[in-house]
Amino acid sequence: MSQPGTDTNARFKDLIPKPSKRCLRVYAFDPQASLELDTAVINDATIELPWEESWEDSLEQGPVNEYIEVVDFDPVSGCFYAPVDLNDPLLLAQDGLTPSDGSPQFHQQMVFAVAMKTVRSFERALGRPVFWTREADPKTARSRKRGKTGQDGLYRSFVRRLRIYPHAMREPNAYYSPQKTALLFGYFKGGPARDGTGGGWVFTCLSQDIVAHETAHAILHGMWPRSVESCNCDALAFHEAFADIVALFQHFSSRSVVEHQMARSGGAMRAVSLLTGLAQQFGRATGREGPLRFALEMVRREEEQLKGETPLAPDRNAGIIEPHKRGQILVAAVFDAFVTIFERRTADLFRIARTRRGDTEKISAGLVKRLAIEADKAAGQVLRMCIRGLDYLPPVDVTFGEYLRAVVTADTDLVPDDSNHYRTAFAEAFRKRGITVAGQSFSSTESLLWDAPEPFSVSPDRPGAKDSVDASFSDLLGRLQLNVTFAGVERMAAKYPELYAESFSGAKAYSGVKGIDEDRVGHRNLRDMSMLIVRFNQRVMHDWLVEPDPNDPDWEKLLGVHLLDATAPQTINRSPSGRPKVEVHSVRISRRQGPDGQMLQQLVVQVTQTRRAYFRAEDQAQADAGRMPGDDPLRKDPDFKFRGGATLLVDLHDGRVRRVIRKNIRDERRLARQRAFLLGDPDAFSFAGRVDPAEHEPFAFMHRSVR
Amino acid sequence: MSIAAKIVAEKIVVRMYRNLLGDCFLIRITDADGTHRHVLIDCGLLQGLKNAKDRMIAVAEDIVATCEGVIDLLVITHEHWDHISGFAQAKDILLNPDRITYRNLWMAWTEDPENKDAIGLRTAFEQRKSAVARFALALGASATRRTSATLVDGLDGFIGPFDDADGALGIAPSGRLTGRRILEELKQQARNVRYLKPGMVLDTPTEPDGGAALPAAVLGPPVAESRLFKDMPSRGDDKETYLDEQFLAYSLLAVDETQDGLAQIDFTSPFPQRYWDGLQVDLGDGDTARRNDPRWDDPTDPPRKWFYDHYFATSDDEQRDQSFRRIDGEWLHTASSLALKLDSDTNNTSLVLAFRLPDDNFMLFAADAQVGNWLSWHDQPYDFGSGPITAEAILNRTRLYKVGHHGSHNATLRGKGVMMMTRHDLVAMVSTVEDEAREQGKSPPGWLMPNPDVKAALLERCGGRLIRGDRRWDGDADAAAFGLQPDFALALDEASPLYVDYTIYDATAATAGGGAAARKKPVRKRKAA
Repeated sequence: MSQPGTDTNARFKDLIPKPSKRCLRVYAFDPQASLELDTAVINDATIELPWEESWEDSLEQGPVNEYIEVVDFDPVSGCFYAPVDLNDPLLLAQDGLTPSDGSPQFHQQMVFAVAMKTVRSFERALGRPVFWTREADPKTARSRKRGKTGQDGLYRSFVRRLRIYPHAMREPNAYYSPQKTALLFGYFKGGPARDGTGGGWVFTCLSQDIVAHETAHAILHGMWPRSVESCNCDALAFHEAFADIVALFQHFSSRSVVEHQMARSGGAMRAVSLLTGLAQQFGRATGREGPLRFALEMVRREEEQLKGETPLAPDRNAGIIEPHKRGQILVAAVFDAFVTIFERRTADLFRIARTRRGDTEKISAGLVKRLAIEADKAAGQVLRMCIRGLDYLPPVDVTFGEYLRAVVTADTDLVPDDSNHYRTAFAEAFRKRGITVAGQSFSSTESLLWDAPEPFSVSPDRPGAKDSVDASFSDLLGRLQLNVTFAGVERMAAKYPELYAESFSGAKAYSGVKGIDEDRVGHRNLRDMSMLIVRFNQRVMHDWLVEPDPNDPDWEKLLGVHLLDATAPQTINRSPSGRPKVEVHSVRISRRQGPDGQMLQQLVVQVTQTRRAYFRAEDQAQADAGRMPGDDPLRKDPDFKFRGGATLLVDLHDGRVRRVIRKNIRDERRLARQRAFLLGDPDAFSFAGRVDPAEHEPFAFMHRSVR
Repeated sequence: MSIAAKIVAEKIVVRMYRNLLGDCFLIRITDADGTHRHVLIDCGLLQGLKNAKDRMIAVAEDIVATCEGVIDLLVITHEHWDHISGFAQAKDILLNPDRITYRNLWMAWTEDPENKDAIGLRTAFEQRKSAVARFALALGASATRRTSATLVDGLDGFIGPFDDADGALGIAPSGRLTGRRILEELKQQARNVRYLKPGMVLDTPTEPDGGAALPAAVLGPPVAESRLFKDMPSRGDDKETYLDEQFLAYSLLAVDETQDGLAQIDFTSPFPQRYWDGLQVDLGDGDTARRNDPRWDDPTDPPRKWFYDHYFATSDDEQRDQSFRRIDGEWLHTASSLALKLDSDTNNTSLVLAFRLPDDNFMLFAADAQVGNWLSWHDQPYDFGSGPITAEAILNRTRLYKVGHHGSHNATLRGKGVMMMTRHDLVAMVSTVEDEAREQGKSPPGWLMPNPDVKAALLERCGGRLIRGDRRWDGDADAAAFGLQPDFALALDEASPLYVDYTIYDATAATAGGGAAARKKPVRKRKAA
């Protein structure tokens, strides 16, 4: 980059303060909105990203930064498109390139900006940095020799940057690939809509909704690795729904768009508008009259049905199994809750203004402004509630009902007093959609809270067992690294040198540690550091867990996994030490501040275990008892994997386990349910047949093959 | 429709040709006076198997010899290569009017040239097929650019060869399929063609010289689109809105016709050249894009160097592996998925027939019907002259089940299908070669034909009387576990390496599969553990 006069001013460089934010121009929706007079005025938007901190990698051409690398390869055309340099002074002076679908460099800029905006909104809600992870390719994982690291448990590889390919294929699709840790966006020639408009190239990377949706998939996978497994009909649907929710609520952060839409609808949110639809241009180019998905479509249909006095069947949604469609149930529930909250928050504004919601004639500019502010606030709060709920989900096999419990519990722990009735709004909206919580009466939101752990049994015949009647991590906490500082590096490196080497195989490492090449020293990256701490804590936690302990039977009960060889079924693999293998998936510290200023400091721990599982109950019984012949191919290659375990929320103030969200590995009914799900409909036999390539990429924006 | 067969068959033998991953069934109906009638149901095997031509010629010779050159009724269930390839591979025999005559041809309503829905359906199918086929062809034509681009699982196996592949019947516009032309040719050769709709009940033809007929009910293919395009089970009111998406997706395979009629994929970038000047992958050298191309590792050319570092290099600037993130062939997956979907849809157009035996029981030929087709059988009643009966009643009285789609996972319905086949003397015939099926598909385990669950359920239902194309029943350990079955063994003739004969009905012999003997409680001993 050329900066005339740099040399003469070098001595005074420090006098210029670092900008607080970097502005990048994007389409508020997608290129199509610019073609229509009605929406053109609001389609030019600017995303403000915080300027890189000193402990982050700087932004380079690509764009490549701490979190993301955009690599613009178009394999169909066999072309690379020159990477944009956002630090070019000419671009800095004009907030990046002007929106244009004809410039691939603008595509790079927009996809980068939207993805980073999504990352930042997650970090704000979670109170910790976002990481990416890579899912092992099932085929190579099978063929590769097991236990390469020689360690118990599986430590998935963290990936430093999410890669983004803005022009990866020519089809109306986009997806997050868990095996490549990459977002792949497609482009295609769209069909003209019925009114004759459209018909040119459509780029999925230019739709804010699609980019936000796919980025959310990647973030979710990074914080919760087992979430990509489809073990019940809600699991992948949850992934889709969550990604849609993130994309949807980002609409409300664009003030001018919200004001525009509020003025048009007279403050009514329950109307078809730009705010409530997803992927407008995509939808039209693929033969729909409107957006691809409508958040409120289900709500609206239900209301129409009720008006027509057709009763709603409580299990009307039970048959919807395609992940995107099933996900819409959850999206509708969350959006309904949001609209209820928004309406409650703004009811007084309408009274003060002496007008009524939906009256587009009398609505004043001042009221529109206030409504937009309230919508932004409410959307932010609801989105944060949704994101915070993620820490309270079971480690495997999640259902919609459990997500409701997670959201309600997480919110209760942070905001004990639900004076605004947000939780009630959630519970009601979920109940209306027929999302039920197994074994819950569902009459009050309190009944939805996750349980506190059962007290440990104090038994005199187990010498050495603790007198403590509560599950406690207090003796473990001393061994964990609880602060993200550079101070603990040496301690961690000394304890697990190989872990250290793995984490910092790269060029950027830390000084003062033996065996580290001096060339690689000097750059201190906080996210690398956090990553090392997570892995260190995982390892410490794992070692602590597999250490024999007189309280092991209590821990087994608490975690829903087997720790003792004698009682564990043979379908659970043993470690070299002879004890059943367990995996520690996540040991993350989250610090959150509630609205009243109270700090919530928690350790979020996920422990899981894997059991070989079979479609036939007889095979299962035989294998569990260890009576399956050694030469049976099923022994090595089971029909499927059944997982169990628990998410524990540990209060960092005293080390007590406050919440336990458990999926027992020995839950035979759950095993039977998963078996039935994998075998498909009770009407049919299994679909473990031919391999559909579409299934390798579970997060395609459009499903490539429809079952 | 009233059916009253004047002459009753005395003996009915079903011949399944063996070692075919494909269907070929010859039914022989014998009267009291010794006259034979022959019904041929399909004749083919999967594309790409070894010695396909020789295998099919041997089968064809046997068919001609057995029926003495006259097939009274030919049934073509659907347009899939593994059901019709024989007519191409052994065309000198099976499409040679000097050697064989087809007096009648039955096909599904979807083949009717005058039915508007059928025309629409066929056009749509044709478009999709040719989109997929042209895509594959175009890919082949651009081999210098894309030699390493592998088309995954199943693009061509079941569609059959494209027209410029060998084994074709003649020259036709590029990209069209030989499967379609086999059907057209058969329609020409057969003296009398009928297109069957679900709910019809009709006699197998006996013209010109009379004889015993078997009444047959047409169970499928369904007329309702929602059933036709349903290949996987689901419950509830899951609105089938994906059709548009599917059609659209096919049209988006971006294949254009050049002036000389050749299919070609437009690989040109949508952006002006100034954005990719000097940044093109060298297309003259097919494998360039896949390898770690050192020519891009050129510090004198910063943009190329940037892409080398960020794409081609096996590890990034921090020595972390990045090779797993390459996307060279990802875009090809669309075509593969579409091909699979197309395969399922075509299977659902299978003509499904239930033949009524003289003892009032049924033989069910399910072709490759998938879930939607199976479910639709229950949508209408069937009247054999003595009042309407339900599909359930037919299933209840089924004695012989030709297993759907070589025993695959989604072509035998459990609840409304095999669980309703409650006869204690049920026999199932599955035309498969398990080992060959396992070699299909991209990855282990390949195709499971039969699928283990389907196999287990069938063995259970049939008490071990599962006749497989790829092994002798006498000696099949799976069947042996159910114990000896003297009556059944007597009705089975496995002497020929080419085929297996099963006598489903014999009025004269008490030992045949049908008749008095079969009504006794069959032997169903499990081997002592």
